Amino acid sequence: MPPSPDTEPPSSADADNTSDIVRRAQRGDLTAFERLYRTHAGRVTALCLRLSGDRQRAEELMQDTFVRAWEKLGSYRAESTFGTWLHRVTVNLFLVAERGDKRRAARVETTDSLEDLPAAVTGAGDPGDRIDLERAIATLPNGARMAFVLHEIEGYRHEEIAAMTGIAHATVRAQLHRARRLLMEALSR
Amino acid sequence: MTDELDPERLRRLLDSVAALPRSIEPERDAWPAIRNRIEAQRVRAIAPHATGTTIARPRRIPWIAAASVVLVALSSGVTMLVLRQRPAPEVAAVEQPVAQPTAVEPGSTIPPAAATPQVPVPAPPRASQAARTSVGEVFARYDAAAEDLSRVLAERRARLDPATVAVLDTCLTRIDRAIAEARAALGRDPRNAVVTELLTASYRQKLDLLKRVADLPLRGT
Repeated sequence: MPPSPDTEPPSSADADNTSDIVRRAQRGDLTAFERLYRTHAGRVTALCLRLSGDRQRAEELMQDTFVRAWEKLGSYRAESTFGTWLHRVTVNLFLVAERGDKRRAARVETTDSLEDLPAAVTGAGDPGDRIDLERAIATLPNGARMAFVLHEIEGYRHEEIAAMTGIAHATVRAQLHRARRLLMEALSR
Repeated sequence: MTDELDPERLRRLLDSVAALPRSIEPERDAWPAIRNRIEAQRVRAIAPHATGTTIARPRRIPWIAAASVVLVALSSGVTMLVLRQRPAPEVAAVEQPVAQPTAVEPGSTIPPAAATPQVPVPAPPRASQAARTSVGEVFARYDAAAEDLSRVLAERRARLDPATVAVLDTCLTRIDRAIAEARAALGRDPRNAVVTELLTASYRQKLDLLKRVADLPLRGT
């Protein structure tokens, strides 16, 4: 069962503190916003790396995320945790960029084998694994990688992914299946 | 989706995935770049409202923020203008950056930036008439704004923690020295974009420092 994006409730004190920092940032306090950045940069970076499969794109996406978060901060109503809201901002930005990104045409979309795929990310895989799992995820075809990362790592439900990406529910499931199969092949080598 | 996945292998895969770190620190600190982009947006967002209605905002010394917007605008503008002027034979006239149209997208909140107060600050020239101002005049505005901010510091100094004031003075001395050296270098080589960058960066540092001071709690409050 993948984790839900909302399953990491902060402690009460942390939540109060974060709420206060968010309110200060909403009033224009850039120092407060920097604290939010410091707190969440790691989570956002991990998500960007896994969604994009590319360090440079991930870095750009991470910056874009925080700039957009600043722009949209006034619309944050604390109906979810700030981290969850920021998470959604990241995913939305990635999807928008992905739709308009001509570069994805150059990526390996039809490969159903991980045999000759290049390393895109060197990550923190389990040393007991025969491959670097992060690298394998990074080299998945775009659609499969997105479905896998959003569902298995970030905890989004199939229907949520379908709604966010604008693709059919069945396609999400198919992409997820494809991703699992490719990764299992890689793990078994 | 006709092929079945081996449940045991799938379990191992998902176990491995579950063990992946949820957080990966960025290779380098992205905050300076993010901050620069945000500050540039603030300038663009505030420019069309320069003579509009005042937006109330609870802040201890609100006009520091507005002055900072002017400083940021000036710093970006001066750098841009020096770069633009490089091929030109003389530094004759420059375009102010503060009259750029807003880049806020429809439906988006201009969160913090919209709340930046319209307060007594060195008024940026309007686009039509402003477009021609010498680099020297722009730096004169810099100095005026910096003087205003320094007066605020002087007013707060006695009510700040003495240790903080000592650190602050050390930092300000260093920054002011950097500003003086950069200005001297720029006097010798007025079109040197690198020195201009250094100078504007020093002003920005000074501004940041003063803003932080404005947010510090006063003793007895």
